Amino acid sequence: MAATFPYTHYACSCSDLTTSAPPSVSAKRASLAPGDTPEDSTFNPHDPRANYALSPLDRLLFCDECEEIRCQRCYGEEIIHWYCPTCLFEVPSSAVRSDGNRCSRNCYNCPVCTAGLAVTAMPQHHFGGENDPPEDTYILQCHYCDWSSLDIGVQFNKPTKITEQLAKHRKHKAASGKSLQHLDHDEAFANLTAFYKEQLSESGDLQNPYSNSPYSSPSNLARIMSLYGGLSVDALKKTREKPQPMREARGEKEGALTYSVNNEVADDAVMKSVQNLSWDETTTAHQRLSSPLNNDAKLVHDLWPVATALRTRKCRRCRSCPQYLSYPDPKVKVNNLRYKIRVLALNHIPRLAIRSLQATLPLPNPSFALRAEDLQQQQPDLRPHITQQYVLTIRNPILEPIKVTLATPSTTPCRVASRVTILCPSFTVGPAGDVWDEALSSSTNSMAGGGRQAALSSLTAGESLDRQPEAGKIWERTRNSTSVVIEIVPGSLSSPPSIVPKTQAELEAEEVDEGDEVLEVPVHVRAEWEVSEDHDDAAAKKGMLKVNIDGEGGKVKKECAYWCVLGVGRIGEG
Amino acid sequence: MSRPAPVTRRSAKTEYIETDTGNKISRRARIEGKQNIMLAGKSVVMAGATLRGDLHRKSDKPAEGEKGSSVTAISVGKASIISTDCTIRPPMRLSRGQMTFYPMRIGDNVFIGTGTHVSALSISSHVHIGAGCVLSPFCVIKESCKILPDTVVPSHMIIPPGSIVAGRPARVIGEVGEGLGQGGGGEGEEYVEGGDLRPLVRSIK
Repeated sequence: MAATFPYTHYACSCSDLTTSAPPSVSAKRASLAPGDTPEDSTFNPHDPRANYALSPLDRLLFCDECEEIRCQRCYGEEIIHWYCPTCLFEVPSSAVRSDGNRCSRNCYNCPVCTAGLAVTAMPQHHFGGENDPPEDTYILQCHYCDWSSLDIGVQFNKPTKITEQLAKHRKHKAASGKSLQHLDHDEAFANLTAFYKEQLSESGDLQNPYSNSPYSSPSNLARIMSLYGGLSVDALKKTREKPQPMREARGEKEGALTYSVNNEVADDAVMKSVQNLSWDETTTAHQRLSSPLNNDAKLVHDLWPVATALRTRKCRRCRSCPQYLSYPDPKVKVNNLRYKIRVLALNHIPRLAIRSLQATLPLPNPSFALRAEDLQQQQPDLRPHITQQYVLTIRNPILEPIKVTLATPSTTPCRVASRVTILCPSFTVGPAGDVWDEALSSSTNSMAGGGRQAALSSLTAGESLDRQPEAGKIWERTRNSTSVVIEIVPGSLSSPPSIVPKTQAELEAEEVDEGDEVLEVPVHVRAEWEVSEDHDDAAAKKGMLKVNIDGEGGKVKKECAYWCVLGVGRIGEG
Repeated sequence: MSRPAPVTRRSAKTEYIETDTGNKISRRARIEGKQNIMLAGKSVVMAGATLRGDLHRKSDKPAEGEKGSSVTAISVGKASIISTDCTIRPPMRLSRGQMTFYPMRIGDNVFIGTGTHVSALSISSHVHIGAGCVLSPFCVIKESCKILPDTVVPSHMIIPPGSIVAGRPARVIGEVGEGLGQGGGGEGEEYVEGGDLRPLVRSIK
């Protein structure tokens, strides 16, 4: 999650922390005791499960039909196409499985450092007076760590069709140096599958062997046979063998790798070589798992180049209604990232942002640090027991004015209790409009107040010096956003010393866990707005009939509510 | 009688030279070969940044009477920001005994963090590059990527669009969220990575 303060995370309604399960479901669940999740419980951001419910705004999608936020757990993904990240070539889904999810063109990764391998021509030395041109030999070379295919002794004759040439080289290697070596991984797998298939057909599988024949049961068959004078029933029984029980593989032909204790010569050779090894020459687990060919490689010079794994482009659908939330354009191939459909939460729900009252706009953002000194700056810790004032800005992305109600518990629900007061919990925010609206309205004054008074106040002192935040009044209003003031008194990390010595349990309970000193404020946001019936797309999609209220063009009330967590800062020592 | 010296009307030297297309180039930036560098508009080159426009492919000899066309070594898109102490150098390759340089293209809305070395062949639009990175020669970065600070992208690596890249050597560690670049940059709003960088450009003075 975000490491830079201040941040805002939004909670999706899918988790138990925000909404309790509907009564029909909770009655069935034995684990959910009826008193556990009461209605209107506050969201505790320090709950160990809270992280699974919170997401930053750029990861949230929104479903138009259900009119709800969809987080990463609430949408399903379907794969549209597979592509190789290096050559950006799309691989048809039929070929994906046969290639083992890897690129079958010339894209390989270095087994040692996972950077890309480039096909380079080996430098040729001309010996003077040669008639035929020197043959180009090619090698795979890693530009990052200087590994090359010469380390495993592989050179290529031509720069294309590397896959085939590599496979040939591998077979050569496996064939030479063989006798004591074990089966190649692929061969062993092929032998094993063939063996087990054979076993399945031989041993008694309980299918009805008579299902295909016109005689539906053994007694029928026996009767007809005896009628026509074939083999007698007893002779038939003898010829049908008892099905053998399935057995396991034995030996290399059937795919089993055996190790015997008596193989001393090989073991001695391995042990001698291990004595001269350095740590760097052994493979790490990550290198061994990079490709099935490398699974058995113990030393770095046994590692084989790794074919690049394919990546996918996915589309996302709401789980409840089969509506596409995000669909990348399949026509525009892999080179660009364009979406056919993209329904983002940040275009549909009011967005919150918090900043300190004294901070100047725009806030310094560490990811946009322009100078090296900006990088070094750490944000100062909050000091406990000192009232700080923050400005909370709500931005409205939809085309209607909304009425917003905020609610937060008066003390934050975690071990370090800080007191939070919202000075104006209920207000309206204007609609978002076109850019033209913004340009036209900014010429007339849009500061708090309006008209002459605002002009005067902007001419004289700076805005924040003279104004005092008042309870019940909004701080600032622009065309599509409203700001209110929040007062926060951070709690202290350590409890005050007491006269009575504390028991061990109390001392343990007071220890500050990791993450406790982060001051996070849960806020419940509820927005209400009215939409005229003509614009009510969601209802039209659901096929609801239009009901004319009071004979006018009826207005439909809509609302949306969610929890969000504002990360304010870290509490320092008092 | 001496006349008073004519008042030298010297405007205070600002940090940035502003061109008529809205580009801001710092006076302390070190630019070589400025006729081979194209800045599309509203882009910023900050102090200490080194742009090597003198490393370009030698154009073919023009026939008599024709003017030789200029070769663009570095072309930067709109609203791109090159922060302090960066090095932008076109990639070069030694092939058959001859050193050839290739033109470098940087797209729109690209933010390059402070102290990075950029030798990439091309950087597409809406890319956010953190501080202290190294982009080795001939790497290609596609759209809407995010490169975390202190990564080293090995040479010839192609970074697919919409990926988050980190590490040494760089690996793709995740995909960018759908909402990247949206929802920021209005008045008073904070800057969003991968989004419109024009407000940030305007605020750099």
